[in-house]
Amino acid sequence: MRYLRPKSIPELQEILMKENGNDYSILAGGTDLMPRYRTGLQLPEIAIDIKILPGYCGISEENGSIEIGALVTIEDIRKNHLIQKDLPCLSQACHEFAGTQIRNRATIGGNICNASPAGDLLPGLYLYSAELQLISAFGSRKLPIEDFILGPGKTALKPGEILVSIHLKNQFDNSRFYKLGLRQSMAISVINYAMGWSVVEKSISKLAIMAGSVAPTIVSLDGCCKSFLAMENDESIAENIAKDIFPIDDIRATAKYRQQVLKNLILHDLRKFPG
Amino acid sequence: MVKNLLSTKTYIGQPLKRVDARGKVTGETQFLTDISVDGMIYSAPVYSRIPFGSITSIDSSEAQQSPGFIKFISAKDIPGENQVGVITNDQPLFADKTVRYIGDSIGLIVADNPARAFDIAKLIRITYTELDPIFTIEKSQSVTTGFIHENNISCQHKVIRGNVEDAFANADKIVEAEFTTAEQEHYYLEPQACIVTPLESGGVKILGSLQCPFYVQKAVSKVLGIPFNKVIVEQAPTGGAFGGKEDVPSEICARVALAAIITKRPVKMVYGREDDIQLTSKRHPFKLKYKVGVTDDGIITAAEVRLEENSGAYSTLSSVVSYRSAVQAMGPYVVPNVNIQSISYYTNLPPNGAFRGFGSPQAAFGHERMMDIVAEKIGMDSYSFRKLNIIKPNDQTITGQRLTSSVGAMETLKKSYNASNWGNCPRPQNEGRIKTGYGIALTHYGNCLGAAGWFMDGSAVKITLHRDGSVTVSFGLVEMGQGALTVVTQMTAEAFGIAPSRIQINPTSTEYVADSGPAVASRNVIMTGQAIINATENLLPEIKLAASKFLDCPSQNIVIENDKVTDNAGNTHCSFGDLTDYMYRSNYRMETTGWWHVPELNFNPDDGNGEAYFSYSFATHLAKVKVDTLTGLVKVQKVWAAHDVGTAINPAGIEGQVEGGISQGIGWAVTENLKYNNGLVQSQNLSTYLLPTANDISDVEVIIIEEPEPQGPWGAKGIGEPAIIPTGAAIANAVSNAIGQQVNQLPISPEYVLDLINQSKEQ
Amino acid sequence: MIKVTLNINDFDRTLLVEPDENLLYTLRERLLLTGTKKGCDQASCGTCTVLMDKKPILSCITPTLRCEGKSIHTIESVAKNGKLHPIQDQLVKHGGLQCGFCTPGFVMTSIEFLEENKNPTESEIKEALSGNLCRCTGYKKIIEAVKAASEDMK
Repeated sequence: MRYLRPKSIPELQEILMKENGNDYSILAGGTDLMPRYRTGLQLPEIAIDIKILPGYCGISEENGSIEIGALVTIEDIRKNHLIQKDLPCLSQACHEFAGTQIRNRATIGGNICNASPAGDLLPGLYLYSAELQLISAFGSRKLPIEDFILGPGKTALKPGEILVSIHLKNQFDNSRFYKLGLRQSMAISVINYAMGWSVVEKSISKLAIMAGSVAPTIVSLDGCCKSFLAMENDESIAENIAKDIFPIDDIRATAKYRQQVLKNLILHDLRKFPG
Repeated sequence: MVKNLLSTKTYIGQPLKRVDARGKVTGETQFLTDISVDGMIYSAPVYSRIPFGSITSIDSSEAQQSPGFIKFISAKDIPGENQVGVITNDQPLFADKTVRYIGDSIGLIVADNPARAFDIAKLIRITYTELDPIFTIEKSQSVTTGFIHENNISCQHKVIRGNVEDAFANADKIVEAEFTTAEQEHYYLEPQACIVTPLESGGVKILGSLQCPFYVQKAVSKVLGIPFNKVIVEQAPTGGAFGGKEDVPSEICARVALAAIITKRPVKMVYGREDDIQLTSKRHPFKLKYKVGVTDDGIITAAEVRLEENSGAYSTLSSVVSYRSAVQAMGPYVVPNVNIQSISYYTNLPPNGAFRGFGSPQAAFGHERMMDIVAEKIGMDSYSFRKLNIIKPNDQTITGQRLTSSVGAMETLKKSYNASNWGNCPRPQNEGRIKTGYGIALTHYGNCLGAAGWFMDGSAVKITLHRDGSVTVSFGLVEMGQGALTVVTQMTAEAFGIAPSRIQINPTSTEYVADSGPAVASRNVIMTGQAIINATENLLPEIKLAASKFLDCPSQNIVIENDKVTDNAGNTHCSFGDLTDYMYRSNYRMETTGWWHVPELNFNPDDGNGEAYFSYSFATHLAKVKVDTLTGLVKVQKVWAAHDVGTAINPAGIEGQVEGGISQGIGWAVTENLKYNNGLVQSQNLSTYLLPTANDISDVEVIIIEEPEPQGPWGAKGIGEPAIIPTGAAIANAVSNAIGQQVNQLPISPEYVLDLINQSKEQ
Repeated sequence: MIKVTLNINDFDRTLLVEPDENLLYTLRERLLLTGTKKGCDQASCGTCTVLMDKKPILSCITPTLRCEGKSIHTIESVAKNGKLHPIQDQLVKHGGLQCGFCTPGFVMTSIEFLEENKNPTESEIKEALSGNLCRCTGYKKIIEAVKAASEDMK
């Protein structure tokens, strides 16, 4: 393995141009890539360590939109007051994210680029309409997260391109994150979801639910939300949930269980709403 | 001559701090994996990648070309017997014909560094003729050809007493139920590891992360064909064991010892995590079938029990697990008529073996679920039904053994029940999302090895006085985290009347003391404690004689207490160090040994009647759980754990054992879920095999009950295993209580709970 | 082999390491600092926890090359001149250890937590420790020791 450590964006871009077509991996926190090496899976030929790149490890607010640098760690997001106040789903997800030691290294950018169907940050990022700033030697572009994540471990990153920042806007008055794991801490989600809602004159005016671990990517339960807003009964809401998700059996749970639990939890949440 | 050991207690009963704590909190303690020896080379296991078949060829040519390769060792290199079976001779050191599980050992690679050894091991090309593998008890029972050994029965035990048929005919109600329990992986945080150095004598010195040095000595002697006295086995500080380092290190050390003899170099082997979980033993999964007869007044009259165990590919310790589960199959209750059958079946899974509790947690799951189910059927509450049938002094166990003293079962039941205040709680309002439930479970755990292991149930100590008044103790059992060094220090201090700070305990080695049997079965306090008392009886008269000369007063007046030697009248005294200096200068004896073996047991293996164990520890766990009815998740909130320990040697140590045991019990019952796919472990790391975290454990209230055991040192009994035994059953009873459905399996996965809740909706 | 300079337990060390070598290996095999234990080697048990720039990280998944210029503290640096850190002292007093293999990891995680949180609640302690697994104690006495150490540090 070759190990490269660019100290600036131009240097990184130069490396990415040069290594275009070669087997490289971008190393941010390294908390996902390194365990793969320990378990005997193939490491890339080249690791490009971007952790020391300046300028992408801050959190800021401008015009009601929050920008998070791709290299911000999960622990920094967890402790950030702005995020606790404005983006509660992200804050909650970071609370339940692995243990302190991993949170100190893992980055939001890495979590997004891993594109795990069970990634705990993702439902919140979808809910808050995350836009991802990507740069390469040829310029920069912005992509909504749902266009960026294409499937398990698959993203729209082009060769030579990297994710540098995430821009978020919370369109909801209220939002919350829920995670179900098989133990209380240090668990990979069996299911997770982020729910956002606004209330006007004691009734729900706006509702969105983003669910993880129930399909190859995060799914927006649009049918379910429409059905609820149209004041349909529980059976049709449940049917609409079932239509939007494609869970699988894995070592943690069966598809059947995921289906039922997601339905149980969402119906339970919706019942608590006014109206 | 010897002071009344039951009446005076200076150091016994004190929460002495762990004597090994400092090295552990500073990281200075060198565990086996931290140790290097000059000139050391490394080995890695070569093992079967198929569950069942015969070996057609082994090709090491590619491995031999690899940089760093030193040697490939296999069955043909063994000078002695190719056999490492602990009880039954069914397990080869290296398979040369048949492989019986994924992980079955075929050879060993020796290389110049550890990573290379493991890489090269993968280059050994083995071809097989595959046979139809068997993974379940059902299939193991039903096949008529293709047996794993001569047949598929690994061992069996029974207890037959009274007349079950008549009793069932006369019973008011007969209740039947079936249960299953799953594997549990020990997951000691330090993997299996050893270093073997060849000696000039032609023997070997083994340093290992292990529980039973004398098992290793025997196994290595047999494989190398050399006498026991040329095999020195020393235990290194060991990073957890829980039964997982009882029998398994014997085979590992024997392989590495062979490598050391052949290469004439010190050889180290440390299992990688995935190898450790795939190759080594687990808790036996059980199928349990109960039929219980009871009167309308709630008196149990008969029980027919069939226990079936998945023994895995080799019998290892299955026979003793099977024995213990049979004689404890009805728990601490009086049942006059029983027919208990316990049978262990071979399968093509890693051999299941010793794990804290040794069949008792599985049996407890059966009898304690059954107690709740029967109580419900006859309309009694689970507490009163237990109280009515519980074993009391002078009652007989199911094997017909009359228990005359130290029978604290009732006390543990009452104290935990009262502490929990369950009796005064109104039935929880269980209408909402989260349902609360309580569950009780008991155990009577037979201390030490019992009738099945009586022939090796003796232990030794050696005590050396130094002229400066310091004392060295060698014992034959081990410290593996449970606190042995600390209680051995306390018991020695008590026996001699000297300060614990004078005492240093040697690492356990076969060099220092005679075969003391295995460090298992919660036997350290009893065996080592009694051996210390025996040593005191040998040496104290000599010490007192010397003191009487030194202080010039009659020997019978000499009292050694609180680290002072006096004439009991306060006229004269000296320090223990002054006395030992005088003893040394006057050529008194400065060293002695002590020995104790368990009392003779009158037991008939043909019908399982008689004295199964000489002494029993009793415990009740009462668990309070919350069940999320939307997800099926179970959270154990609190466990009230009452333990009759005879006499508490170190209450802080007991608390630690119980809290740790309950945490492992929560793991077995709730979070841990070992999954195989065609004999290959799927949950092979800690992100899929879920040990409880700090957030998963419950609150624990430990209640210590002291019903002194006349055969125990200062009245003490074992605690290590009772700490885990009732936990799983108590949790299952509590979940059943919460959701109003019978929980009949472990683990209690959320998926299983949700299925039960769905069933109750359909009813 | 590549040259890397890092500060380990307050001493600058320049070492030659392999590009894919992790910090746990460097500490244990090159520097013989075996107080940091190797448990699962898969980022799941917390046994190998050390402090990097005062924050707990898992040395088993940290490439040594990434530590260039960083300060690393291991368990060997914690007791000063034979005097135990309050968390070590309280672990001894509470019996918050049994086999002791996981203990250095718990000490390292707790040190940073106790610096950050002067008045921790039980649930904060549990959350902070949840990345460290212990198979022996059931955690209760470890949690009590952390609480007591926070009192000692006031």
